[in-house]
Amino acid sequence: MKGLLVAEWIKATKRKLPWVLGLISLALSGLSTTFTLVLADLLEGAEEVIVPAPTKPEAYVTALQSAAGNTWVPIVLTTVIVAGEYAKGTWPVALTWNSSRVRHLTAKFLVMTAISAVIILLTAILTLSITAVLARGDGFLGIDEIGVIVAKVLLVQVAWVAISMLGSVLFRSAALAVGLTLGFSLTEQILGLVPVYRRVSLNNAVTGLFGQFDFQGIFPIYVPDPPIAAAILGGWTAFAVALTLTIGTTRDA
Amino acid sequence: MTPAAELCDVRKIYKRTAALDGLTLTFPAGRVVGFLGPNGAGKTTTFRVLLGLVKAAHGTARLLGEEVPDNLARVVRRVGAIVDGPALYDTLTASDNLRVARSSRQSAGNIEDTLRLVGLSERADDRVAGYSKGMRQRLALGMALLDDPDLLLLDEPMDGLDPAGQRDLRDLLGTLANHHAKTVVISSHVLADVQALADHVVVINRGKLVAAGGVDELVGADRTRLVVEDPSPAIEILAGHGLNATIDQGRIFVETNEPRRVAELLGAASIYPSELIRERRSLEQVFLEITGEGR
Repeated sequence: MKGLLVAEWIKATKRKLPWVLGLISLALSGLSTTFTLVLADLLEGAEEVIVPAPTKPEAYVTALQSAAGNTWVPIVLTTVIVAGEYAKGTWPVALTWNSSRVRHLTAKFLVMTAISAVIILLTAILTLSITAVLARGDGFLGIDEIGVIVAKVLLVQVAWVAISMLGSVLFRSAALAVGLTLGFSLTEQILGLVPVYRRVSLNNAVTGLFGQFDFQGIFPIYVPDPPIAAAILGGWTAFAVALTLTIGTTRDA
Repeated sequence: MTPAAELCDVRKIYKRTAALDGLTLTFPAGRVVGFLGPNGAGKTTTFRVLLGLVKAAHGTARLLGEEVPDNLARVVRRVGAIVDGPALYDTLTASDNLRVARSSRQSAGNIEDTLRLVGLSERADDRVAGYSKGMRQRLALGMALLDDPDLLLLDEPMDGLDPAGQRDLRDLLGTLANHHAKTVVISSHVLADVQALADHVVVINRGKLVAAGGVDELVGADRTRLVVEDPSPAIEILAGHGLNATIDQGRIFVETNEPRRVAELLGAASIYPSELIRERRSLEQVFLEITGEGR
């Protein structure tokens, strides 16, 4: 297993994609956090028409949520690399070196999770730093709180990597897998407003996991409590992993 | 000696087409085996079944004595393969491609030696995306050879190689088989290469075995070809001396590798051929005859 992890790490990190995704994630979340914190100051009377800028320490949670909300990072990373391997014919070649499909898929899953988690954590460090400088109020998160937040960030990444792995083994084309998995992610946000679906919505669960952002009644969104949100994410992860392994080990390479 | 690989009554269906239709064959160990068949005959599918890449609908397959795919993990590290073209990681360099292969196999293969063996040392740090087809083929071969395998399954390894590259590969595969006791199974459309390299040939067509045996056995003994003004009396004379002679498009073919004797017999009857040649059938001729592709 160690050898396969090393192989997957070389394959992923020796290409430009993770670095490009990291830069985009940093730029997008950095800008969005900055605007969230300074927009009300920039526009006179803006507080009356838009959500007021969060203050410390809640602003830190908002900053983390902004970073963790970059679910497109694990989706694009995983689908481009894993589905690309099917499309380019290197998947059967890899199986001639090590025939265990479960181990191959597990190694890909772990490496994709690790890389997206690093990107999101770096993004989180940036948004927290911006918040420390620009947000009003006092206070910071305790070490315990930071530990919990890191675990939550990881949980979100694991869920989206698992779903992206499923998209990859299902569609076996980088373009199809990226498009349809991102499409699912966006559609899922809308479905999160539908009463019959909102209690299992991934996006609602992500919001609930970080839990303290007040949407001020803008959206009639269901925000589960953090333990329930974690269970929803865990359920999606288990479902996606089980289906990925079933498809990945039974379909012809 | 345990065969390098065997298939017994293997059937593999893609949608409604039988790629392998009850195929039974054996690749003997320690030999260079030419694996031949027209396009769509099932050669690549055979390799894919042996490597556990596709599941057969029926029948059994054994690789180095182990039933596959159930026991594939026990033997896969003793096999090097190129299947369905040289699929490589284009965004990586040749060295990194070999590193990926080495890590995945958990082998101790030496990357520098392998690069030298396939003639890619000078381009080792270039991205594979910029490689020519021949260079890609050589790197794929290097990846197959990395772990010093006992058995090489090579699907069209000559494809894309220039004449010098083909010669080098022929020499390399010959050395591996003759001096290192490796089993090399090559599927190729370049039948002259197979004839030069292989000592055993397996021919399939439409998913079924058509012929198998030693190259000499399949190609048969040399024959004598001659042209005379009036073939009928010449054939009668030769038949009268126990020589099997047939006529095809005005040429007489005699099943003997002694053209001198043919000349003497006909000369005694004052029949003087305008052409008299001892000829060896090529593997290509045999292949076209037994697969019906020549018609």
